[in-house]
Amino acid sequence: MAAPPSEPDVGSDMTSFETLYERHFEFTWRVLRHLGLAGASVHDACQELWLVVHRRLPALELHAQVRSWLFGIAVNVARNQRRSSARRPTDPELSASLVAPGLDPEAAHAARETWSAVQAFLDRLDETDRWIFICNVVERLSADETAAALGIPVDTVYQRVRTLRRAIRKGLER
Amino acid sequence: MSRMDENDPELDDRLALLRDMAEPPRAEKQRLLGALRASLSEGVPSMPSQAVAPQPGRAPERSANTRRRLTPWLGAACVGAGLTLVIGVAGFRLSGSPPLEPTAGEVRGTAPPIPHATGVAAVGAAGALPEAAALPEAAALPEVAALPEVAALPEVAMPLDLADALARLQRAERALHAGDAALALDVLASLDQRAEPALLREERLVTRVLALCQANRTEEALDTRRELQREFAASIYAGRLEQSCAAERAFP
Repeated sequence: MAAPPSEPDVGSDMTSFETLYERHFEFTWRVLRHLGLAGASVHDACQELWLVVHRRLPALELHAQVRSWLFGIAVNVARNQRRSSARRPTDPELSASLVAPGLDPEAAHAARETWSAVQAFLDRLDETDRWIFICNVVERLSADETAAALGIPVDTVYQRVRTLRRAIRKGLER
Repeated sequence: MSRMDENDPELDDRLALLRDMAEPPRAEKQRLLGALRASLSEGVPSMPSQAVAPQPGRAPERSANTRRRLTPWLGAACVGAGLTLVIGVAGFRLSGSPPLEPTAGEVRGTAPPIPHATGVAAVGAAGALPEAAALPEAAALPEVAALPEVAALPEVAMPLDLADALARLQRAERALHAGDAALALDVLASLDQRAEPALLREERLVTRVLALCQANRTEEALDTRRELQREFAASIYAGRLEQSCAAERAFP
């Protein structure tokens, strides 16, 4: 297996909060969306995530893979957010209407179908598989980054990703 | 992705679409950064412990060198906090309530529309207030003493900047999500009083429509929706309103 492209090691400029934000805001937002948050919840969670990043910036010094680190924070923030927003109305319209602006109607319809199919697929997975899928298959972090993010062996990532890719392919073909 | 195993361009394309769909709305990046700056300048609220300690494989927190690594951002935050304090004190002297954290009394108040003042004028006026209050002859006049002088002064507050306006808008949205439409409308009213009309105009209109719907004030919601339609014909939030009482089908 070819070595995947990985995030550059954390240098001094990467520890600047605003530099991190500038480079990785979209990644964190997407991850929170993939983790099932929508509407105001994803906004609140993203804000919380970056406040945590601000507080934990020193920990990044020892964590060479930035996206792995951010993914780990996102997982916990999303879990907290879901817990706190369990009593709130959800915003299902966001996944259906505010997505991918600029798509023509046919592409938008296909996009929504894909979105729904993947969300249904994710709902059936256990937690670790869901994280592996989002981290590696959807967001394309390398196997090393995925393993670092989730604290699991790299071999497990390879093995699970093969299974998950086969499963999602079947799910999308239905 | 195909690096992991077999090549499947179709699957990869669909997953790429998934990433596109999960992208943040336009302008969200700057909006959230503004909110973060505001939060950090006001003092970061304490985070739940689960969020502070990320999941598996997370490095333990190294508190010893925390301060060393927060240099530029914290410096800016300190300046911001100082500025906020100055503006806050000025606003407090003039209006009797902190400008950044309105109480229920403030947002539900019925004060007349507030004329916007320049920063220099507002700070100057704030500085003059204590002297006026200390004048002995003013205290000696019963009719004057009976009047809440400072409260009766027309409120001259600095217009909200983007971060403050955004923070209020978020409060309105939180109230809406909590089912408190009345509070959401009050916060929006306070935003109208304190912010420049064009600031976050589209977002304010959308939130107002949703709040009015939640309050069963359908006619007003429809009027506001029409206003939105006139000013932002291609609003990116139109979809949010399609499941509200002011959906497009509900008005001609």
